[in-house]
Amino acid sequence: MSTSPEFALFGGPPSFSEPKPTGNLYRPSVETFLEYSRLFYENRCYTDEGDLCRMLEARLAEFHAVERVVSVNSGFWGHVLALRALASPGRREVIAPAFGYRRTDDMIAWAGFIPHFCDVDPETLCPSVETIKSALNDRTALILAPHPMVNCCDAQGIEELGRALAIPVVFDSVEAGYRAYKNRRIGGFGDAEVFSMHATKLLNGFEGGYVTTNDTELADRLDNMKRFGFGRDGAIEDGLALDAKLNEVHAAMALASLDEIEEQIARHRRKYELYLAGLATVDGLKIVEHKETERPDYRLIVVGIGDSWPLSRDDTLRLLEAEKALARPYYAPLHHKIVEYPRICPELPVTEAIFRRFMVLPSGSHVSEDDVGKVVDMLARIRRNGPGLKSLGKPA
Amino acid sequence: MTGKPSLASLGAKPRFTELLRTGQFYWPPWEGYEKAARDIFSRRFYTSQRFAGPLVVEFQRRLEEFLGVKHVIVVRNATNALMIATHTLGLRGKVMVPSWTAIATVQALIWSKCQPVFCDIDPDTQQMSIPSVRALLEGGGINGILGVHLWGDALPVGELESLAEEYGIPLYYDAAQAFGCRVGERAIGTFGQAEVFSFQAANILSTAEGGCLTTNDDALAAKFVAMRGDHVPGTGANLQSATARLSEIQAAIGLMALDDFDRIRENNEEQHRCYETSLGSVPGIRVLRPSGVTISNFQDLVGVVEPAKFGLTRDELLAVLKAENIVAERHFHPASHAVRPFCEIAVDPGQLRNTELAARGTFQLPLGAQVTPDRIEQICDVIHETHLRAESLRPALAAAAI
Repeated sequence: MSTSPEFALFGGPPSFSEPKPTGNLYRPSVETFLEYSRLFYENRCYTDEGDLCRMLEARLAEFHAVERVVSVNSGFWGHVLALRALASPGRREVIAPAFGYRRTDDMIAWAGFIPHFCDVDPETLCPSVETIKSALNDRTALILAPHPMVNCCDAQGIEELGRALAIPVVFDSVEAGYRAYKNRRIGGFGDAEVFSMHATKLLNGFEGGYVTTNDTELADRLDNMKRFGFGRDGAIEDGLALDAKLNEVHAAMALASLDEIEEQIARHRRKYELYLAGLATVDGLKIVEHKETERPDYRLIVVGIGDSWPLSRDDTLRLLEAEKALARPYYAPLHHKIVEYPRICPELPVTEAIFRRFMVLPSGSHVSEDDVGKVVDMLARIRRNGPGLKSLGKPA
Repeated sequence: MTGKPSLASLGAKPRFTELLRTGQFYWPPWEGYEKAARDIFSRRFYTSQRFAGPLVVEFQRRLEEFLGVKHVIVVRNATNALMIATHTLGLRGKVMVPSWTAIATVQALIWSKCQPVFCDIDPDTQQMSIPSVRALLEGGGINGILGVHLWGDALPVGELESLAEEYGIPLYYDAAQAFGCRVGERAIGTFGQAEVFSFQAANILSTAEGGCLTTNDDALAAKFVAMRGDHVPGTGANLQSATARLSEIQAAIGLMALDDFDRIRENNEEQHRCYETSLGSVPGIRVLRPSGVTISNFQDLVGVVEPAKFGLTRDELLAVLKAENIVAERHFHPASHAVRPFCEIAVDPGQLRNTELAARGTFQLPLGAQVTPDRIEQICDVIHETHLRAESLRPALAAAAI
């Protein structure tokens, strides 16, 4: 085993003094946040009944070019409500990829359904019409299709599949808020789309989320379901509801972040271009390119590891982590974890073949253009020292 | 009654120009909020990712100290907390709960795949009725008890704990309305396997939305933390997540509220006393005074209308108050067992007799940051005059309703 002092893992100084994450952690202007906060100090309404939640919903409806936006306290519970509201009655299974957000199956289980995993397309890294079709059966209650970290899934194709079979489609659009597919803004596809405003996402609301839809009846229903089933007139229409209300403090933060969205995208773009140019010279790594035709946000940097790369993905991540570059795997397949509720896990050959080949590099608002240069340099050093670094051994 | 009516329902101007809602709505002063925001922005730690942030950790520590309990786990809201507790205690099948509670108590059981069995309440205190609980337990098949403390008061904890022990089933509590209350020397929050508080703005300790779980059980606490969404090495890695984080700014707001707790509680107590004094002389109005606790948070002013003596029904009184811009609410309306689809759960005749009575007569009045002794005096004047003018109000209200 080589012990090159060039690397922090072998005792060298780490390249970064503070950790460089993959999460966005966008910091809007504190003055803007305080200005919005003044509003609830004036009207003394701190919860979902206040003006800021409504203002945010209106602004987001415009942003996504949809009829309605229902703000919720998190993407997680937004998903649960959307699944519960939309699933075909009498059917039990929800189709979702195993190669996706690590709590997808937990959300489906809370909503009262059985996750039925489907495979992904090796190019887009997300489900396609074909992979979804292979999981369809007469128990399918709903299709939950996530957009990948970079670019879009075939939202139109999946939407049309759902419509043809009369099976509702919900898109997990947590990573795709800014994008467009075939010149249509993300937010308006399928029956509903769900977004997160957790601090690590594009729009930082501290915590929070929202559901977009062009179905006003569905939006009314979700509005009730997120506030215990109470309608605007104060009567409970359906007791099968939840508390998933956003609050005014988080709405103020989301509004401040939304105000600066274009500046944010411009900064991500510059860093993405640096990564693109830098990694072009590092043999064995291939960046998943943001498609200019899909209104890219340039936020996440996903890299595929080729056969000529000298190390495994996990050893590469260990080296980077010691440098405080907190790169991470591009999702861990859900069917590999053990859970306490039933799931349907068919063979997923593409997922199995590719899941160890992708990683996400540090990006977002904690990462400067200089930092990008350092990460690229680290990867170039790993490449150069390649053969000597093979078999890093088990971590201490 | 002689003289010109001063009630809006009889043509006078409304008593208040702004809406007075029920609920506490205390909130920290701007200076503290601004400082907390600037600190969080400069620290760039906005909310938990794998690990809880510094303010969440501090808020939990302070709550543990305040309550005298080993573990406090703050979460997104009380519903999530109840779901986490129900799931972690491994409850399935029938769980006993009063029908007379916030609908969220029952909803948490449903999301956790349990079936509520509704017990009745004591007609005087409106807390869970021990004879009703005992009768239902004797019927068999109950796997757990979700006790509920209402109105800044407590249910008879000693008796309920004995019953749970006798039947060997888990007992945990929805203490959403009882933060800061004590039974003897012990704080609510230290009873049963776990208790749940709400920090929703209507309650005494507010983080806008929010809540927490409390327990003295280390293993249970680790599972709560894992279900909230934190990374807990070695335990609960595969527990079904309920993703229930509280943000750093919410924790900052909660810490400021906790600093101010004694003053807020005393303010509540004074307001409660004002109502009790002024309404004491109105026939047909009974104000509930917390009697099962040694210290109450006095966060709720709850009254019961007896129409025969008051002259009007509860709903008629609420209509009169509404016209004055006083939003006195019918908590809980309707009672849980009457809400679709929980109304399909079988209930024996008479099983919920006191709940039905409470549901017809109970109302809640504004108490907290929005009112002052002077405003309370005016609210009570309205109620007093409503009683005195009941005869002329009845046709006016009937006409207005058409």
